[in-house]
Amino acid sequence: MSDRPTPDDFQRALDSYWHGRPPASLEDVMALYGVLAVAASGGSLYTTPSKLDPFVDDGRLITVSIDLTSDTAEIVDVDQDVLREDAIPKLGYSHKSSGRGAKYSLTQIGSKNGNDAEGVSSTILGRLRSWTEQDSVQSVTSDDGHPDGWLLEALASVFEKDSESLESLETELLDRLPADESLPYVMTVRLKLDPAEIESIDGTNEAWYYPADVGVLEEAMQRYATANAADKNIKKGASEGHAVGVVSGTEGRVVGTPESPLGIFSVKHPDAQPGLRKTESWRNYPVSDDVAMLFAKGQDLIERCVYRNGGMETYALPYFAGEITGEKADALYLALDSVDPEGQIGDSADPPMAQVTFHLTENDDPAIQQLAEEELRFYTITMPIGDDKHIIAEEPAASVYWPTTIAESLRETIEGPTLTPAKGGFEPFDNWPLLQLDSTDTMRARRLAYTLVTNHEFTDAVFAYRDEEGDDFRRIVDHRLLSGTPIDAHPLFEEYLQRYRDAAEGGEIPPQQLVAQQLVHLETLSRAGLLRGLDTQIDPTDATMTEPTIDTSDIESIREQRLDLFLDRPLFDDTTRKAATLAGVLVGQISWHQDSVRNVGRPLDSGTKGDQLTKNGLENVLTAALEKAKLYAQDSDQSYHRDLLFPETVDRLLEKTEEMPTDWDIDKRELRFCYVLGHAHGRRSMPVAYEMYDDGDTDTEDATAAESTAN
Amino acid sequence: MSPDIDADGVPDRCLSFTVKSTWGHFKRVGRSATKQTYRVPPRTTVAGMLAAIVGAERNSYYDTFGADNAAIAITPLSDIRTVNIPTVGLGTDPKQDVTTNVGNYYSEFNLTYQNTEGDRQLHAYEVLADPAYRIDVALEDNDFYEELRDHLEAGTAVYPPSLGKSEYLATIDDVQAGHPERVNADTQLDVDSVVPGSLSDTIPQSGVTYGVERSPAVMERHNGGRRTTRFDDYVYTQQADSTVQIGARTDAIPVSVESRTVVFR
Repeated sequence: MSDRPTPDDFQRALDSYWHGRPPASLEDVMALYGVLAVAASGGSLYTTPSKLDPFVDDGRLITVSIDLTSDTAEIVDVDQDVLREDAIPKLGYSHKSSGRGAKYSLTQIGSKNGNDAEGVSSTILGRLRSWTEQDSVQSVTSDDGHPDGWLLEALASVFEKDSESLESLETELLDRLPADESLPYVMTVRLKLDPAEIESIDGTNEAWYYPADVGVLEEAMQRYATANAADKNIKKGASEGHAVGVVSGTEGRVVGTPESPLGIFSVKHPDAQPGLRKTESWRNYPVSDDVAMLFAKGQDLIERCVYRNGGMETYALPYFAGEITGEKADALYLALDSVDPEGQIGDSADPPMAQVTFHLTENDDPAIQQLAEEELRFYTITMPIGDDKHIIAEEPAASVYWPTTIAESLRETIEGPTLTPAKGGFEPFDNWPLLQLDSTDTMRARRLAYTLVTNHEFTDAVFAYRDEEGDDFRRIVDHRLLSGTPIDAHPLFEEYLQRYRDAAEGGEIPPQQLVAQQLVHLETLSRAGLLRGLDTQIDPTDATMTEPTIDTSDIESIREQRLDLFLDRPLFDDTTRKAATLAGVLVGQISWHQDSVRNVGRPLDSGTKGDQLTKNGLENVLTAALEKAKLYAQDSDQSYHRDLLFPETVDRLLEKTEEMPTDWDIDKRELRFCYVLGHAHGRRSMPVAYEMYDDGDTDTEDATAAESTAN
Repeated sequence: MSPDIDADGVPDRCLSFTVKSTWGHFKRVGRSATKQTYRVPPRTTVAGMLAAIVGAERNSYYDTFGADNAAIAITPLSDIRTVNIPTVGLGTDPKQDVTTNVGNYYSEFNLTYQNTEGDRQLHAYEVLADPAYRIDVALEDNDFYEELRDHLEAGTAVYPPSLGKSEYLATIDDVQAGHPERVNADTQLDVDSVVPGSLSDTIPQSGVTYGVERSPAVMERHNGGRRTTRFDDYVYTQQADSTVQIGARTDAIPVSVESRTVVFR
């Protein structure tokens, strides 16, 4: 079909194949995609007229006429003509793309590249014969078959191997067709029938009928087309019965081994399913034959919704939660069709979920925007890529509300004080996904943030690395966030610290950007209302948000103001959290001093692993830092301001508590996270102060020179 | 006397009790290699659990829990949380893991037993953590209903009730008999139980996450086995303390039982 399907086309397909309930399960969504695919490919579930396009006008139609009005079936004519477009509907052609041999319909085709007379009489005619012999086709003659089943028996006798009728037909074809010219052929059968004896045709007088007009032939075609859905991976017999379909909700023929686009249902592994009786699977999972066909048809659309990354695949299948109409189906199809699997936004992968979301929520049509806001849901499933179809996480009705909320919180955090050095925050950095949204345009920044939330980077940037074994907890967290389930702070701290350890290559202190990202992550969750287990907000207080630009005329004062602004968040209202952070700041500052001014080979922080910190360890390093702060000040000619390095930090630490860390009452994970956070800030407090220092003529050289006066 | 269930599916009396366990697993249809659980026990599972308490034979009780003569409401009492738990076990497929090597054609008895030397296989089960549900049930089958009431009140069971798998033994407590009263509302209603219907019947609330699933509801005997004759869609919330908010004009008929608002199905 070159023409795009219209809402009316979708409505017709919905009327024919959709059960009418709003989607409520993965099976519903898969069937819905099947209906979309049917509408997009011409409107028929079983027949595939477009597959005959290559034969039209260039190819030939051979029509075998069989008279079935007398007691014995008789071939009365073989005709050949150019295949015209208008002949196609009556052929009822149903394509079978897998395997060799007969197609699903009585009408058969040869090669698109053409067959010679020999090929027609052997291959194509052979397919016709093979069709009548298919078990699934023959099943219409059985007890639970079709009242006109005898018609199939009659056809089978005409095409029986070595029969007189078949042999004369072969001869006839060889005589009539050009022997050395290859043409594309379609072969069909028309039947002379008496409506009085046949239930499955409309009419009053004896007449000629083509396959599309004969109900029993259609039924046989459908059974053949769905045979695999009843006997896949079953050696003997089939799993089929009569029951209420799990998707259709109506009683009829059901099959027990339907196509499973995500590969999560099969009867292939009895060892994994204790007590499985393969041929009884239809009782537990009754799928009507039409729906089994829809599952197969919807596969390509489902495949448009997968995002693969880090050994995992995440399906995010969009649907509308209300009643499905032609317009909604049309909007959904367009959104799915618009997905670019290679989509990128900046340097990040733009996953299908984000693409679909923006296609609908930013649609030119306000009605679709509203629909997206109210009814758009995603059925999300994550599993490992490969044969292991173990589902790690699943969410049946994720709306865009939570990812949008998280994205907006992320944008606010990134653009807020936490990443504004002049407001006491960390510096923004390129190439660190949570440290900069590469856009000044709010709409684009939102979109970038939404992409980070849906392409896993939001979680992957700060969580511990995972090997390929086992469930990837990061993906479980993603699904929880999509559904608005709050994350507990303490496991989160554990993840952060584990990542800190993962990033500490060869004993190096991990880059401060890593810790800055973790603060951004924590604050984003807190802003979005998705953090629990901490009694307080993470984001800075309003005072920090509105603080005027700080005085940059003096290095010490910059440091002090930045420290105060950094600490001005409810997280640090707690005394021990603040003290642990200040201890980290001081260790970071002293270590920087050792590194940059005194060229000490092993600065203080190199022996202190933040992720393994104990209260004792902290007490030791803090004591050492306080001693060094004094010692270096006395030792240094340039420290004329005070008798101590970084006095502002020491003051605030002592203001907070005179107890040493071994007496602190604080959760181990909180202690460690606060320490590494303070450390990351302290390590950069001098360099950032130099950058901000303004003596009227600042460049890097001058700033470095200012160091002597600052100390 | 057994309850009377009206044409809208609302009973005039019911039994209410809390069932909970440390884990629960209600295997979903349509998933095979991956063993996942429904978030809410299917109506048929509740039927099976009650039949176990009463000691009804396999395949004998489906008619008791029909579409018109039984009414069940399910209210989750714990946050709905699932965990994937890997289990290690031997398969039970007769061709692969079970051997028959005692007895032969002439023996009076053949013994089929498991070959315990095979390699253990890893199967991950998705299970509900600390599931707890309040079940309201009304049955028009008088004998069954009275027997059930006697067992519940006495705290006894013929077969031990469990949440899905026999190893997830359930405890049942706080048994009450009640009289459901219809609730009238002009605009909207907060329902504690799961609500049959679709997401489109619900009213969005901040901080509340709705989930939806479709599971077997009614079954019948059929050719030596059983088959499902009705599947239900229903909406639930992930958080135990939040309710499903629906408009007054949906098909669901809310009733009050104890201090809860529930919908029977």
